[in-house]
Amino acid sequence: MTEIILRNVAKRFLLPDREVSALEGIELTLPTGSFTALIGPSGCGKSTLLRLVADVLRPSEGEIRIGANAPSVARRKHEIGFVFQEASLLPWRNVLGNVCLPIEVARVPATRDPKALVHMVGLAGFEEARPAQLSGGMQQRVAIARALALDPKVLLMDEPFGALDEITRQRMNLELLRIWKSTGTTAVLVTHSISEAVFMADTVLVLSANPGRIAHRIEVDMPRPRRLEMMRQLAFNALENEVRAALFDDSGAVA
Amino acid sequence: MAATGGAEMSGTVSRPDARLLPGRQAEAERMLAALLRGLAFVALLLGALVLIWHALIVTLAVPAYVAPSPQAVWTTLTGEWPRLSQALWFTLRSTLGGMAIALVLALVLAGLFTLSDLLSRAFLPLIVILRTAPILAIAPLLILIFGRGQATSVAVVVMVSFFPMMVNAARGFRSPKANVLELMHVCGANWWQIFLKVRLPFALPYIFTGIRMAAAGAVLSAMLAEWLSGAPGLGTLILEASSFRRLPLMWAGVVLSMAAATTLFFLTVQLERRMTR
Amino acid sequence: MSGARQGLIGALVPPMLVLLAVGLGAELAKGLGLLPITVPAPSQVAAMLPTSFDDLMYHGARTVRSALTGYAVAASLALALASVALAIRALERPIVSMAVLVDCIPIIAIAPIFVIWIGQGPHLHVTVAAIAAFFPLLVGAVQGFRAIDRNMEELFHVIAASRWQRLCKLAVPSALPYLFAALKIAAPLALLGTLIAEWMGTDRGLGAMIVLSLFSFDVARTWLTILTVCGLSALAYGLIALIESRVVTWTGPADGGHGGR
Ligand SMILES: Nc1ncnc2c1ncn2[C@@H]1O[C@H](COP(=O)(O)OP(=O)(O)O)[C@@H](O)[C@H]1O
Ligand SMILES: [Mg+2]
Repeated sequence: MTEIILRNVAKRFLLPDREVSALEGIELTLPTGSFTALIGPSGCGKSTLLRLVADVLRPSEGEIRIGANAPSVARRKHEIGFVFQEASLLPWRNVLGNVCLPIEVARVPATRDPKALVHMVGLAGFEEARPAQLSGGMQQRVAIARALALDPKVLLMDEPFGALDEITRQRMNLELLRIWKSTGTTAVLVTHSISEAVFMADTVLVLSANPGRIAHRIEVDMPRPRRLEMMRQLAFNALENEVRAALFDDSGAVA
Repeated sequence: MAATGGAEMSGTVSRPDARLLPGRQAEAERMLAALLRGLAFVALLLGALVLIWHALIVTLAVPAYVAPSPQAVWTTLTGEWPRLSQALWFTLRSTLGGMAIALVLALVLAGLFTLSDLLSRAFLPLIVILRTAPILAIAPLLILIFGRGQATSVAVVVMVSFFPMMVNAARGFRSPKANVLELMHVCGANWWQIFLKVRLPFALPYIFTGIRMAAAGAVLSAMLAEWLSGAPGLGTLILEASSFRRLPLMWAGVVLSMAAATTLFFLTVQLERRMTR
Repeated sequence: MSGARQGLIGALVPPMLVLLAVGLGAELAKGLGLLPITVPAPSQVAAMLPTSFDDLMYHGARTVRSALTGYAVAASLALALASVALAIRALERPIVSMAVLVDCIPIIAIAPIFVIWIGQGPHLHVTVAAIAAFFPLLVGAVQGFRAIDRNMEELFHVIAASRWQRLCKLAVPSALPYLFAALKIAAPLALLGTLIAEWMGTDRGLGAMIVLSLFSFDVARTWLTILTVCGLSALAYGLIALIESRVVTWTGPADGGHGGR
C-alpha cells in the first residue's frame, strides 16, 4: 500500500525580512496507483508540495505519509522517483549512465534492467548518446527512465513537459500513461496545461495562491486507456471548462 | 536622425536618475554609513592582527630575527619614515603611472578593435593567450632595454596591467546587444556616436573589472622591477634591508607594501562595485 | 575527432604565423641596424643555443621540479579548502575573502620573510611557487563547486546519495571545467613564483641563470633563458589543455576570468 497522505500540511519560508506562506491546510489522500494532476497559477506552491512529498523540504506543520512511512524513510528506501522541469541530466554521462545513476547510488541489485528502461521510453539505440546530443523531449524521456530505475512506489513530476512543443508533449503524455499503467506507481504530475491535466489524471487538483490551498478538486471519469481522440469529445471539453472555471475563479489568471 | 537617436538613448539613461533625485540624499547617507562600517571593520581587523602578532611573539618568545614585535616595526616605521615614504612614493608613482598608461593603451586598442572585425579576430586570440603567460618573467628583458631607472618599473607595470585591461575592455565594447547597435545604426548614428553613447557606457563595468584585476598585480610588478633593476623603491628597500639583516626595516617595508597593495586593490574593488551597480 | 584536430590547427596556425612574422621582422630590423644593442636578432639568440643547452637543461630541471611541486601542493590545498567550503557553506565567504587578501599581498614582499623562516633553497622555491599558483586554483575550485545545478542537488538528495557519492558523482565532475580553467592559469604562475624565488638569490635554476646573464650583460643568453621560460609555460599550459580536452568532453572550456601576471 503506497497511498500518499498529507494531513493539515503547511509550509512557510523564512526570508530575512518576512515569512512567506507557500502552503496552508493541505489535506490530501492519493490512493495507491492513482494519477493526480496539480494545476494552479505560478507561485501557488505546486513545486513546494512535490518537494515536501519527496523529502526535499520539511513541512512547517502537519504530517506526510508515503504508505506507512514518513517521506524521509521512503526516500532512503528508494521509493520515490522525481522528474524535474528541465531534464537535469548529468552532461558527462551518456543515456545509460544517467539511467543507472540511482542504481549505482543505492548499491542494490537492479530490479529493472536499465537497458529495458531505455527501451521502454523509446530510446533504443541511443544508449551511448550524451545528453547534449538529444532533443528536449528525448532528454525528458531519459529523466523519466531514471526516475523509474529503482521501481519507485510514487512518481513525482514537476512540469516535466513544460518546455516541449505541443506535438511532442502529446506523444510523451501517451507514453507516460502507458509506463504508469505498466508500473502501477502512484503518480503526481504538476502541469500548466489544462488539457494535459484532464487527459492524464484521475483527479485534477486546482491550487489557489497566497497562501497555496487546494481550491477545487475535479474527478475525471473518462475511461482508460486514454486516447487522443478523447480530447475532441464533449465530456472532455466540459471537464476542461470546469478546470478553467476553477482556475479563473479565484486567481483571475492562469500564469 | 542622429540627434533623435542620441536624445532617445540619453533620455532612457537619465530619466530614472531624475525620478530618484529626492532619494539621492538618503543614498549618500547610506553610502557614508557603509563606508564607515567598512573602515570600522578594517580597523578592527588590523587591531586584531596586531594583537595576535604581539601575543604570538610574547607567548612563543619568538627571537627578533624570526619576527620582530609590532612595537619594533612601528618604531622603525616612524623613525625611518622619510626613507620609507620616499621609497613608497617611488613605487606608487611607477604603479599608478604604469596602470594609467596601460589603461589608455588598452582602451585605444580595444576601441580600434571594434572598428574592424578582422583586426580583432587576428589579434584578440593572441592577446588572450599572452594574458595567461607569466608576463613578469620578461621583466629582466625590459631592464635590459629600458635601463635601471623608473622607466623600467613603469614599463613592467604597463606590460602586466595591459592584458587584463585590454581583454576586459574588448569584451565590454562588444557587450551591447545587437539590437541596440542596430537601433543606433537605423537612427543614423556614426561610429563615434555609437562608441560614446552605447559601447563605452556598456563597457564601463568591464573596464573597471579589468582595472581591478590589474591592480591585484600592479604593486607586485613595480616592486619586482625595482628589485631587479635596483631602482630606489620599496622592493629594493626590502631586499637591501634583508641582505644587510636590518630586519625591523625590512618588516616595516613589508608592512607598508602590503598596506599599499591591499589599499589599492580594495579601492579598485569599491570603484568596480560602484560602477557595476 | 578530426573536427577537433582541425579546430586545434585552426587555433594554432594564426598565432604561429604572427610569431613567425615577428621573428622575421626582428631579424630584418636588426640587419638594418634599427634595433638597440639590448635586442638581439633571433639568429643571435638561436646561435646561443648549442653552448647554453646543457646549462638550460640543468637549471631548467631544477626550476621545473620546484614549480611542479609547488603547483601540486597549491592544487591539493585549494581542493581541500574548496571542499570544506562546499561542506560548510557558511565558510565559503570567509575562505574566499581570505584568499583575496592573500592574493593581493605582493609575493615579493613576503618572500624575504620566507627566506628567514625556511632559508634559501628548494623549500623556498616550492613555497613561493605554491603561493603564486594558489589563488586562481582556489577560486576555480570554489566556483566549480558553486556551479552545481540546484535541481541536481535535489535529485541526489531524493535518490538518497551519500556525501561521498555527491562529491564523486556530482560535485567533482561539475567542477571539472572550472578546475581545468584554473589549472591552466595556475601553471604559468607556479613557474613565475619559482622564478621570483630564484631571483631572490640562488646559484641554480633558470631564475639564477637569467640574473647571472643579465648582470654580465650577456644579452643573447638573457633572451634565450627568458624565451625558454616562456616556452616552458606555454608547454605546461598546452599539456593541461590537452588533458582537459580528453577529460572534459561534455562542454567547451569554461572561462576562468583570472589573468596571469
Ligand atoms: N526556497 C524558498 N525560499 C523562499 N521562498 C520560496 C522557496 N521556494 C518557494 N518559495 C516561495 O513559495 C511560493 C511557492 O513556490 P513554488 O512552490 O515554486 O510555486 P509553483 O511551483 O507553484 O510555481 C512562492 O511564493 C515562492 O516564492
Ligand atoms: Mg514550480
